[in-house]
Amino acid sequence: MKKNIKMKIARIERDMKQEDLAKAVGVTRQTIGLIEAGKYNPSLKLCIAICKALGKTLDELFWEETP
Amino acid sequence: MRDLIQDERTTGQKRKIASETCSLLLLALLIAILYQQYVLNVPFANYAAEFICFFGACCYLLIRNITSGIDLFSRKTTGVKYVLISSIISGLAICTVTGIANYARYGDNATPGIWLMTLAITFFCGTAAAFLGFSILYYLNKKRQAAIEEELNKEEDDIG
Repeated sequence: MKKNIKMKIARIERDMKQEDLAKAVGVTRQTIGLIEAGKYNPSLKLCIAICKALGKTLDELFWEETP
Repeated sequence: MRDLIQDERTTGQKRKIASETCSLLLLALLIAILYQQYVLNVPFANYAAEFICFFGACCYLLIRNITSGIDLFSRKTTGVKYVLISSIISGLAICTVTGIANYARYGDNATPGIWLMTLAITFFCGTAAAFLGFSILYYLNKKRQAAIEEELNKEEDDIG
């Protein structure tokens, strides 16, 4: 799995730490770190919660761009 | 594409069933140990296999949880308070189980004074042993969490 840079940028743009995002969606900081590092595949429910917390759409954060 | 994606629901359900089976098996092992030890009064050699399996499985669960980075003490009442409360509850459980077993065995011969003193000593020793165990777990868990925290801090704002 590739790193999720888009999610990391969206989080930094909103001036949020991993801990803040983790609290906002109700998971551990480790989970957010693993998603950003591309080492964990989140469920659709968690993806939606992250999108809502970061004010983005699923497309903007999780859609893979074709090379 | 069909080969790459597994049926998540089926996989999840299978894992849930396996996890439930594991919990049931551990419970059955614990009941078997206590029954043989306190009701049947058989020698340790007779239930050594169950004993080793039960405590081996418990140790494995704890070690795997800690090494995977799952915070075992993530509740709000963290720290010494949580360790202390858990130790007292464990001490009470040990005291109750051994108290009932001892009463069934020696209830007719013991005087109330000796009886209460035995219960108090059992509670004190059980709590102290549990406190030691929980403290070790708390320390290992904290150490692992600190290592993960450090790793996450390094990666947090590093884009690329």
